[in-house]
Amino acid sequence: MSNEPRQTNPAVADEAEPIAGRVATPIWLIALLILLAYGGMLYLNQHAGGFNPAVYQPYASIDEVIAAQPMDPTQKLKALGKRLFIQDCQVCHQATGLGTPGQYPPLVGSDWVNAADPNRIIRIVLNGAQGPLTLNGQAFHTAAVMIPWRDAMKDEEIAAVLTYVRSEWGNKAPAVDPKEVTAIREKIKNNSQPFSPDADLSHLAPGE
Amino acid sequence: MSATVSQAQAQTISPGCGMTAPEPSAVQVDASCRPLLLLFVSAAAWLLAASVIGLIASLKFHSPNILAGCPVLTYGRVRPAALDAFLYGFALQAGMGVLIWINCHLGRARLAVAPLLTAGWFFWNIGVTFGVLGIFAGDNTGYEWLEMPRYGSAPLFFGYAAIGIAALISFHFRSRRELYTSQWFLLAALFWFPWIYTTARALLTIWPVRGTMQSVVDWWYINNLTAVCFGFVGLGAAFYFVPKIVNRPLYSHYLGIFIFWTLALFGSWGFAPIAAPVPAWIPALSTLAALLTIVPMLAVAINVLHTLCGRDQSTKGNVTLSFVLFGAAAFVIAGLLNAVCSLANVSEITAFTWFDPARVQIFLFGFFAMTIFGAIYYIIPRLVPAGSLSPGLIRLHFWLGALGIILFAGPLLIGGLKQGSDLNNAGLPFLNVVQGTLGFLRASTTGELLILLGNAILVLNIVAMLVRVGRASATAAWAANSRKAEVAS
Amino acid sequence: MSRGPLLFLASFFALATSWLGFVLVPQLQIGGQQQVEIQETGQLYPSRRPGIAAQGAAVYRANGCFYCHTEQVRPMGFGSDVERGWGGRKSRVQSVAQDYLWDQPVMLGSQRVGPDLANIGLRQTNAVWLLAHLYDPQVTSKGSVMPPYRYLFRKVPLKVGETPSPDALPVDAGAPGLQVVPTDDAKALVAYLLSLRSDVILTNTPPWPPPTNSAPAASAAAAPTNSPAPVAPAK
Repeated sequence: MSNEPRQTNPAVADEAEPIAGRVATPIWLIALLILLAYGGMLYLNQHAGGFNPAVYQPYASIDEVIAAQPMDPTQKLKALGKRLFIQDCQVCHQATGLGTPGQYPPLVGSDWVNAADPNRIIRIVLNGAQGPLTLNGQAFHTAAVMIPWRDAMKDEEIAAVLTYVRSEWGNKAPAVDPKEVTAIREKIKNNSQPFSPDADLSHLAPGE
Repeated sequence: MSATVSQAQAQTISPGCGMTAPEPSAVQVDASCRPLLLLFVSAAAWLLAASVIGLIASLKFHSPNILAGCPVLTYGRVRPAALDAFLYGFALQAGMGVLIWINCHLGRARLAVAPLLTAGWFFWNIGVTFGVLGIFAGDNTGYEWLEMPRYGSAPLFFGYAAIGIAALISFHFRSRRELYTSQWFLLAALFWFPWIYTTARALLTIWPVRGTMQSVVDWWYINNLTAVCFGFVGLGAAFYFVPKIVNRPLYSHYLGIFIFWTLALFGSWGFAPIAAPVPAWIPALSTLAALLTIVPMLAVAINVLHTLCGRDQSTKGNVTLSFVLFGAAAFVIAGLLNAVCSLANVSEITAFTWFDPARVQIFLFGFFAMTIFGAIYYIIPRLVPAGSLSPGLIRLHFWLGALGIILFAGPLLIGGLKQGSDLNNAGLPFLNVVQGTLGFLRASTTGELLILLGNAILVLNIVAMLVRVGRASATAAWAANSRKAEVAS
Repeated sequence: MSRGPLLFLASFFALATSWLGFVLVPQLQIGGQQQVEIQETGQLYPSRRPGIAAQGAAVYRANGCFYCHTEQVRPMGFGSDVERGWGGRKSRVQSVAQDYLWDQPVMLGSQRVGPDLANIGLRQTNAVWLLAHLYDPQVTSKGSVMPPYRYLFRKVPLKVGETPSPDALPVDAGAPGLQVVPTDDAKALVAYLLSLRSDVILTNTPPWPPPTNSAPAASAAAAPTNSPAPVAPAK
């Protein structure tokens, strides 16, 4: 500090600059910070929607947003049908639905599959098929036999797999109601023989 | 002059051999810092202009038809003009001046490259002038706090760069290498502004981002300018002036550094309003950050209050101390309001009401402007030793400013709460909600008037001092000339 | 001081965490948004505003309308935005980022001195009402604090026997023989206001109340992914 006499003009610069003490940061302040940070993480858990850009308030998570989506009522049926198809039908009709030429008929673009009334294909799935088949106007030559599924599959499952087949690979036919399968199963309960598609079913009118 | 005496003293004290230049004395530093007077004078002028324009804006709530015929004076142009004039014309400019002066003093460095600073000052003010005029002309960019068109913001940025480089060069050649607490804050603010300004302008006006991403960038910029740039400069000033005036050490350097890191980490996270049209995590994260800033607020209060403990009673009357302490109190209040407003339950009421602008003004004026006023009134007499400011007017300015911000923000805070709860009552027609706020708006105009008067006094005080100094030196020159003539004859 | 550069970097990174968390990550998430195809209609959303409406947005910006009006509706249960009729979509979520895709600048607004305008194109389809409101708000909303925007209009003389201009507003022109006609700025602004609507159901704005034939079980096929576009964008 200088010893020169202080001038009367108050605007004399003081020589000393401030210095800082070395007291430690109070521990309770750091504890408060940690506590707030912990509470904040809990808050983020609830309100940050998992940092997903599709989640807007007031939804709290992506699951809630998904759950609130309007659902196609046949979605559940299609999901089940797909599982069953892979399990049971794919081995012959192939995952692409194209079948094997000369052996197993294709399901893609088939007039049998895409018919408005699924009564014919319900019968085929229930009892199996054997015999000449005219597909989309052309003869499909095969010696293969389709096994019956009346005992292996329930009505809902048959409806599911048919719904799946009728909506996959570009097929755009309406879903199959399990009640329709029940009705037809009742109609043909005394017949346990496989159907011959051309002979037995091609003349079948819608509604039968 | 005492300057030469202390210079001689310094030269005899320090070792010779030309190893290190003698540390300049405080008076020498002040003498070199004289160009900063430019910054302070134009900042004060912009402050007065901003207050006048702001008053025109708030008059429109007394009657919508006031000055409504002219497109230049419509509320939607006058309000942003007042805001930007305050932010860039006064706040940032005066903040830079205070920043450089404190840094030069703490490091005992002479202000280097003064012509660069002067050039920077010139471009800065050109930029703000063009920017504000551009807003009046309708070239508003559409982004809050960034309304100035490009032909205003570009000169402003170059002016800032020039001033910033001058500040950095001075800092580099400082004599005292050890950093005091304030310097952490001040230097961080110095570097952070160009980063946020270029980022915001680039992502909004040059290569615009898509959709509400623009709003996110805008909110980020606003929060960083407020909390980091203004907040850090104000805190740096507070941590300098309070210990210096009461002649006691700052309570804790470590606490100051703790405040620095917590505010740098949490204070800078943008304030995205809850329920804004952005994914939910963005407002949630900003709420968390706002709540975490409660801790540095408390730390600031502790640091300042403990520094004052046991001070000499003679410092009580110091008006700079009054300004700075008022500012520190406003800082803590504004910070706590910020944290509270970030909660969903509170935001549901206060969002989109007058509560938010009031809260922001408590920070901008109550904290930052008042702290800067205290700093200016301390610095200017040291920059111009021959002049003196009227202490009566300074004290009047303090009371006008303090009462002004209380009368401005108080009615708006209460009115905002009422407006919010009215808005949430869907049965109440919107026009009734608006009518209910008019009383509070008109009451807050009184606060604005007081603030305007205080700002006018600031300008008056400085101008009067400069006139007196000018006259005195002119008289002295005339007297010297006539003595020469006498001697010669 | 050798610590200097290290300290500088450390503080810069501390400050830059805000840039990372608030600018970079949101930009990666919502910055790349594209139009989405609406499942019911196959149309793209949002559509770009027609030219005159885009000019109107510039008038809105230049006159600072966003200092008193917001263009964002808060979700159901948060405030009374939806109850006041400001909402557009029949969903719990109201305004989302997708709605502002083509806006330049996005003027969300932060004050409600005037009502929210996000769906004004749904609430107020009468262009003449909007023009009259701009000319003299007291005519359409008595007691409003909105200033009159007379400078957006012209007074054109109307001689006796002449048919009035089709644009003439049904307001008092102040003197006989005068009619009030909007300028291009006023017409553009009104076109912009009429284009403000966001009522389309998107994947991140599920319908409310939920449709009656929906099954509550979720299926992976309809799951919105983490990608910025909630539904597969149309190529």
